[in-house]
Amino acid sequence: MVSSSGVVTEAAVPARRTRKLRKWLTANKILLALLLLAALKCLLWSVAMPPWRAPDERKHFGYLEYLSREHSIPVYGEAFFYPEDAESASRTNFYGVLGYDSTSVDPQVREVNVAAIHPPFYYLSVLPAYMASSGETVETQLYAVRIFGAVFFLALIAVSYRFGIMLFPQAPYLQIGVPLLMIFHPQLGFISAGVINDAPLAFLFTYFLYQLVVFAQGDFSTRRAAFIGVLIGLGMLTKSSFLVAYPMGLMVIAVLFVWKKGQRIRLARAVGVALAVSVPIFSWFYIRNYIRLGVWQPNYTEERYHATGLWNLWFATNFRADLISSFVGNFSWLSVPLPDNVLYWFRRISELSVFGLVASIIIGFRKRSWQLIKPWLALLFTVVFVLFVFSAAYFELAFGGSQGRYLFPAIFPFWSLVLVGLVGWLPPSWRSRATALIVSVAAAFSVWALFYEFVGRVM
Amino acid sequence: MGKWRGLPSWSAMVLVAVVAMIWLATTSFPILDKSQIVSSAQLQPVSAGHELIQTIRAPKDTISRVDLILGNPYPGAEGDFQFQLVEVIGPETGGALRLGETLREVNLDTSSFDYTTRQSFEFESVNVIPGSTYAIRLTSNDSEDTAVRPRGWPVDNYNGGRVYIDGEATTSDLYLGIFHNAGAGEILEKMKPWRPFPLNRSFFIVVLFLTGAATFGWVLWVVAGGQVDGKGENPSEGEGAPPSTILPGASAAGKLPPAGPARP
Repeated sequence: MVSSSGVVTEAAVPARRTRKLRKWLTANKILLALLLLAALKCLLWSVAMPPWRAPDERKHFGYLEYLSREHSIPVYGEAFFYPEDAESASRTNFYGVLGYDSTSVDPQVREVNVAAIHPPFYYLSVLPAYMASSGETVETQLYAVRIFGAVFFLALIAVSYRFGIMLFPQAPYLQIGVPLLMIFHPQLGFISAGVINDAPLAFLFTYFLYQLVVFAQGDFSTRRAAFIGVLIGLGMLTKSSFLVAYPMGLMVIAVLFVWKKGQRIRLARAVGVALAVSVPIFSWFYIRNYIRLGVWQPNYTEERYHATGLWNLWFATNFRADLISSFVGNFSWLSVPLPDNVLYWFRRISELSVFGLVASIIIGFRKRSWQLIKPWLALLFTVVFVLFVFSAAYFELAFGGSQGRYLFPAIFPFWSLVLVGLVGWLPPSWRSRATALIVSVAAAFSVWALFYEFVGRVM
Repeated sequence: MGKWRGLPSWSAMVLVAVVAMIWLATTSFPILDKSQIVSSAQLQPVSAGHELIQTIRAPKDTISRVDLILGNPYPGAEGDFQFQLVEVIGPETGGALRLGETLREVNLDTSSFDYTTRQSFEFESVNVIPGSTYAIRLTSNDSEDTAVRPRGWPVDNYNGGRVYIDGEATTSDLYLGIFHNAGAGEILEKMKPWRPFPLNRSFFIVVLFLTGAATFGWVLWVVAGGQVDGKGENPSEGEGAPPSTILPGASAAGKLPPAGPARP
């Protein structure tokens, strides 16, 4: 209330807040709907997944338990599984996943927890959910952490929506369509619902990419560079594969150095700031590894393809097919792959989208009003995705055990390119309806994959 | 007119939720009852004149699908690969196996796949006696002796049966998935054990699913060109349109922050 003297009374403050909130909710209806969908999807997958079925979930959960009990960051080789987790794995038929009849576990066997190779950011972030559910059964704690961890998937969707608004301001169907395709991506849903550090990695990298694009468009401010540095630091403190951000960022800087001759000092300063901020955030973890273990990043090898090199791996082994399978949907410790005809159609659709993308760019050159994506953006996104494919291949050659989820940091570029490729060559007036059709198919596929292929087939 | 402006979006929500509800209520889901997933070894190829039999113990009272992993190492292979589910009469003793009536039979065109892949043999649900032994019999009319190579594991991993090659018992097991068909009720039951309240309630899962479907209905309607809040322009026809037609919140968020002043 405003009195006659113009003084705002206390009663007026909540009313104003309510009005502001209502205004914000109205203005962000679509974002909220996307977040609701993402939350429901994550929750459904979390519930659908029996305990310990996300990749290496016991190991990641063991990391959390170590943090909570030892009050320190684990060192590789010095952290072990806890007996109650082994008992839970036995109780919940975990070994049935692997096809064994025997589910007995000897809790006395001390098995090294290899998740200790990972940096601690994700585990520290979800630690409150673990602590809040202390006193409950291990399974209840696991579900609590899974559900709390969905916040990273929601953040990924929110950033993707904002990113879409920035990149495609005149194409709302893309702004909404790309996050929808991410929500309906079966393997992304499965991974994001488990206790595993891939969802925060995907979120942080997408956010980094968003900031990098803002930077590339001319905002070379110290603040922007510092923020990018924070994101890189946190990303490196989540998973070492975030290292891709450095060559990615440097490539963009190199191009800007050539194009923006008058801005070179500002660019150099921004690079310095980003490095000065990012390195201290994560370097302590890797330096500690080096001092204690003699390596920056410990790892273990898991030879699968016996490939002699990159070419051999890609063209003469099953690596490519396995990578695609575990990118689209191969659940429960890679023991529940989606049927081959699904992968067949995924490949055909991807190929169609590549042709469509090229056609869309050519058409965009000739008819400006038809242009949906700027060629530099298509190039940038392609480079990002290809870099992660190379990174997965390198990991396979060096250590083994590479999976499609290693490409998830490039998930926004991937689905943006696919959707633009599928609708970008159509007349503008058809595109929104075509997108609606595509996301409908994706939604039906997602529901089918969850209930029919996952719940039906998971042991 | 004003009071009806939200009708299309509500209709989209209800329509998608109803479709989702009908799907959930009427679909039959294959449920895995038993599996042996170790498939790193290539077992004896199945070609004309040879047979490979895997005995299984029926895990439930019906079987409607069996999954195997089959490799087809050379392109252009032709012929029929035959899958049979057969009764086993009498006990398995000394490697001898006496087969009874063929319960179900599925033919697979060998040329339909040219690399190692999981094959689902689906058939009309057949009643079996839980705990009793049945046989999966694999034969082929392809004379090429490398035609179809089932994958499995040479060491006994599955205690419900074993592989017989041309009547000889081995210690191997095929990669195997044995399914029965069930309705949504059983799928929801499967999602209960070990989950804390309220995650272990079927009602909760159904509500999540239907809320998701209704939300998707609304978003889909917006993507297809519906109005966001009943006023303003069609948000999905924004290309080439003035900024006012961009979605709420879009212009502010989409606008790039101004670049700092250029320095020499």
